[in-house]
Amino acid sequence: MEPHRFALPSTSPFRIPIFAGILCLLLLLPLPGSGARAAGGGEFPPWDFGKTPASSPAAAPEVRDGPGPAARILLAGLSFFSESISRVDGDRCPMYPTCSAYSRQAVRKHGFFLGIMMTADRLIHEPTEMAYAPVVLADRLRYYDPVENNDFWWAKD
Amino acid sequence: MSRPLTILLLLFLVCIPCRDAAGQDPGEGDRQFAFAESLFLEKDYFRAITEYKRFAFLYPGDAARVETSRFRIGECYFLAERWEEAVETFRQFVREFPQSSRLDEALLYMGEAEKKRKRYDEALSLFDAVAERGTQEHRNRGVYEGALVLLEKGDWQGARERFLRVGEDSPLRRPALVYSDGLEKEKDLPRKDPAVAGTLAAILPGSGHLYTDRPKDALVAFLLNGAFIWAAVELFDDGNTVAGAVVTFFELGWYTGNIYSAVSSAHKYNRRIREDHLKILREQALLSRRDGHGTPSLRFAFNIPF
Repeated sequence: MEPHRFALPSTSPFRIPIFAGILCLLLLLPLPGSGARAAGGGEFPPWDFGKTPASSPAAAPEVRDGPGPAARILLAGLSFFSESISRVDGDRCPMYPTCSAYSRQAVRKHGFFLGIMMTADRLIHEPTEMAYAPVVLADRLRYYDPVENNDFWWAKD
Repeated sequence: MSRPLTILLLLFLVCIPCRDAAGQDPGEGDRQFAFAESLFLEKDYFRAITEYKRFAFLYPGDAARVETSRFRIGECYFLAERWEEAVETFRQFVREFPQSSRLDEALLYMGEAEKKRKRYDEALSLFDAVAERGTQEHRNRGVYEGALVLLEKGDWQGARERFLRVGEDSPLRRPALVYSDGLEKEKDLPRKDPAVAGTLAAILPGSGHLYTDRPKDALVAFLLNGAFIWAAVELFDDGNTVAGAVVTFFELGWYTGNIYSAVSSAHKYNRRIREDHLKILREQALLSRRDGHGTPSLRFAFNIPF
């Protein structure tokens, strides 16, 4: 006995819709990729179309030499402070970047000794600096006092 | 209807769209360019660039308007504050149309964009080029804009000398004189010597800050250093050498930080004084530029700092 084969009749009304459906799916395949590319959360605005997004590995900034061992220990201590102590102790720094973030930036930029000096300077000059620094909206309103505001007279960026 | 007539009619109907597609309509180019111009006036610069590019691509034979399109593309980038693209577009314009009447304007735009990018040497060389080769008014603008670049660089003396070179018949002469007169007063501006501030802070923590008009910081520096020095002395006196050494280590941080802070405060003080002086000069120069042609008049200016 011949086995039963399932086949759509040549005049089936389903054949064209199925084919059209597959065709539509194939046409729509590239859309998710291009959609994601166009709507890259502000990283890929129309002005920059055709350029490599800044967040891609190709456009990553050149990594400088890492901090020395003393600076690394200090950075670890600062991370411990901001992630453990400061969370319990409360956020009291009115500046941006916050004092611990500023200290980390200063140590990364200028090393252990100058980093400590600039951190002490930040803590000392905080009261008066609030009268001159512009106000920025970070997680809340803060006074903007970056590392560049305090090393402009000697550091070459 | 006879068969040949039907075929002819069909051929005619088929050919109608071809006429438009071939761009034979003489009004189409005008409409295309007018559309680009309207986008430019609406400040929709991104779309305007596309339309100017479309015009230049579709009507390469319309030399005058292709030149205008290329210039406008640069202007669009400039007005949209896309400095790098503006410089590149105007550079291509200068290369493509070396005999253009807009050459000086293109160079001025390039210089301004380079200034915005803080590439002062490049900006200065472009303004110098205009000052040497341009029409009389463009020459004056080249000199004036070059002086503004020197001002941004902090070379006040150089800027002053350059402002004085602006031609007497130029509308820029009056603001240039405002700047040169104001810059002459630089030596009269109050200053704080960073070396003095640092020395004072080293002798007595806090006194450097007092010298730079920061009494609150002076109090903080004095109390912090005083407390740590006192604690270290007491600990050493009590025989707690290890604890005394630890406190001394921290005190060294406060002490050096206090000196650094005093020196930095002096630099900040000088910078602030210069910036305030420059801000007033800019406002005065702007007012004198808006003023009529030497007609005495009463003017009011309102300034709202925020």
